[in-house]
Amino acid sequence: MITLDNVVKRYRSRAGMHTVLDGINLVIAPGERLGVLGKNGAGKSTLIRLISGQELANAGRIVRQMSVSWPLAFSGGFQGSLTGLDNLRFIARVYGIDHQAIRGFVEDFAELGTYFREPVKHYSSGMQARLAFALSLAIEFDCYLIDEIIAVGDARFHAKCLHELFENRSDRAFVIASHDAGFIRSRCTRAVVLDAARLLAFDSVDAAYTHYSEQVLRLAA
Amino acid sequence: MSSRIASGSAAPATRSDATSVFWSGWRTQVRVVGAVLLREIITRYGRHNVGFLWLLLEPVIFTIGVVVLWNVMRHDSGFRVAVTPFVVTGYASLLLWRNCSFRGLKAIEPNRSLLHHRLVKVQDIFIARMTLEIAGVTAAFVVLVVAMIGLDLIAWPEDLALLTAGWLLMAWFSACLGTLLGCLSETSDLVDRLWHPISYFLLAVSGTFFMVDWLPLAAQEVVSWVPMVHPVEMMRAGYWGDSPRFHYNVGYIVLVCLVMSLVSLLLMADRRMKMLA
Repeated sequence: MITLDNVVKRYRSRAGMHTVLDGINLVIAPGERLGVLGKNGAGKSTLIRLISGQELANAGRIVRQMSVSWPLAFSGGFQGSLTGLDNLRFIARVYGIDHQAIRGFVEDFAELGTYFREPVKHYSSGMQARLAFALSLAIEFDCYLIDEIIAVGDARFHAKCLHELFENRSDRAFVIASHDAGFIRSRCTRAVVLDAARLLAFDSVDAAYTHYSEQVLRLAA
Repeated sequence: MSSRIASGSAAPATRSDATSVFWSGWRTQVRVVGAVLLREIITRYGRHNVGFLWLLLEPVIFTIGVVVLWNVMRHDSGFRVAVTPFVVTGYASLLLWRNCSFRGLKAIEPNRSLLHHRLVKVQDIFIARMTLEIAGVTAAFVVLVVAMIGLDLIAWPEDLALLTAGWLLMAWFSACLGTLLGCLSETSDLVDRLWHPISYFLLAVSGTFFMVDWLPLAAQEVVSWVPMVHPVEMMRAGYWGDSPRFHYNVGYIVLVCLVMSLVSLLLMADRRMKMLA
């Protein structure tokens, strides 16, 4: 279980404090797949970072009673001057896991070949994404946080990622932030919409989908 | 595939639970600091040529250069102690606090990507950086002193314990200084910009270039407020024994270090440090 209790997040800007999230209440149950919808800048990524503990809230409480992944983003958490292997070792050390045990999986999944021993800054963006994703999957968590999954690699790699996540880890919880309402609708068991720093809850994914789609249409009109 | 990561946020119910939570937290901290430390070594020194031996070589080369320079430039008249031990104790101490302070400044920014992992805290970054810096300069100091004694360039220290105590206090002070400046530099760019000139002025009064006893009484009074002077004097007192006269106050430097440690810990624990991320 992950519980967010009245969470507030503000950022300093030139025009003063800017409130991105204002009084967010949310409970994520084990095994649940929660979709977070919202237009660009609605605070989806901020919410994900707060749940991960990467950033701290200005007010409110976040209680984690299951292990939570870092945000499965596709470049963050890397040191460019280190090789893929060094990054693997670093992450294995931080999470207290024998790097030998996960090395095979990461090398196999990321499909980097000899580039695994090259500095990450020499990678193409696709290669970086593959390494990041492989590392994220190498450590097993109860809850995975995913920020815009759509961006990963080519169609085949994308399919591979989805299989690893949703088939091989179907018993885990997921929090998926996206502006792709179709993806959320097809993958999630529950959905919320972020709008004007508030979190709107819905009875069904379809209701959230409809609300969000109408919001997007209104903006486009 | 390995087992899942424990969530680690269950509230302790009994005293023995609390103890085990403390120890698991301690183990996590040691593990994370170790990971950050190794990463720091590889990013700083890479795997080319002698790699992380530069950690030791940099201060060794610097100190040897300065020792040679002082020996060449000194006027035989007037200098009241052996030049080499004077320069080695002075410059090794100087390197300690200057390197630590500059490694501390803006330490968080390039490591921001590490904070991506919840287990990595701002504290770990500072502990790793300061440990590395202190280890490098300490190793260099030990190697130089041992080599110089071996080559019969300098005499064996009179009071090794006092010399070591001075060094340890200087290391403690340097680690606090680096952490303090690092935290403050996160809040304002001014800290970074001002520390460069300030550290330069401090160099003049830090005891690197003088012994307190050489100064007029009024000046002795003034420099006794400079924290670095005390550990340097302690080290030199440890090296030479009772003569010439040395001026240091262990209570003062310990107090300064305690206050600085406390402020550093408070600053690092400040939620804003991570909120700025």
